[in-house]
Amino acid sequence: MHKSAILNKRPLILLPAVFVVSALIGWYGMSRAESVEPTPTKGEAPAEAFRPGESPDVSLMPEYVTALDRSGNPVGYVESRILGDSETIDMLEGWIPVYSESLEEVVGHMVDGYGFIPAGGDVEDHEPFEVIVDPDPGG
Amino acid sequence: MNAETRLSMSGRLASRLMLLALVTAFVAGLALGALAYASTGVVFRENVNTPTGSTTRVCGEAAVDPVSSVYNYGYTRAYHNSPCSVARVLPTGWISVRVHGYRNGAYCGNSGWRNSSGASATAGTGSPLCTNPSGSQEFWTTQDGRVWQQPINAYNTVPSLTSPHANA
Repeated sequence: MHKSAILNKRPLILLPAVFVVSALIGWYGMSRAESVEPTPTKGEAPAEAFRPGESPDVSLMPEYVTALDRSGNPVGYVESRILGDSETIDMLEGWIPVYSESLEEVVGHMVDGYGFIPAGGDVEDHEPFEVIVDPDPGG
Repeated sequence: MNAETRLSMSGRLASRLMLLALVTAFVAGLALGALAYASTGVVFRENVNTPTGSTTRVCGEAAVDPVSSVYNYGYTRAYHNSPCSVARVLPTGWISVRVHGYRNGAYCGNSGWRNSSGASATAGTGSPLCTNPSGSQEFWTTQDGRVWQQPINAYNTVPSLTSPHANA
């Protein structure tokens, strides 16, 4: 083959190599983007999130709010968006997941009427919250 | 020192004691006020059509009372008119309330739904959802309300409501 013909075909020969290198750069960039994704915020909700006479402002809360057990000890975190959405709690049938410190594991649930029940625990083994029937101290 | 001077000095002492007593009473009142029952009062939330063609004004109330223990209170109330003044009695179970408790911004749990137990215009509940350990604490209640919608045979949930904070 004439030398000039080979030189003319060089761009075509290089095309697959350029494609592979581009794909590798793209994959590396995406994996980097995933690795720098911000970690969810967690902790106590600030006082500003509780607006008297209005719905709680979930946008001012951390993404995960500290959950307390019946003795008042921190046991994990619940998603604040669930706390602000009564219908979602109903869809979960009143079982709100409580996540571990790493937020990767479910350590129990906040159960309607019972509070924190550890993972694997049975509601029947726990006392429900005391209920004052139809109180009306406000008149 | 003559009698007039002594009288003047005792008068000044009495007025100072009275001022001290007033300041003490004011500070004590503030402290008691911070511990008192804190409520939103009745707040309009949403109109709900129940039964067909008839609008019920659904109102709510959220309160927290840290005096004896930490009680989280909530009410869902039905009214004929706005703003929340002429009560409307609805059949048994048509009105529901649920309260959530918070201590220092942490979640303590909720009461679960409590339905009106008879023909009533109100469903109310109160539960000690949060503990009250020693030291300064700040408490809130949020209230969820819902009313049965006969046309679609399902509950209509209205926007929730937050109580004022109460310190203990």
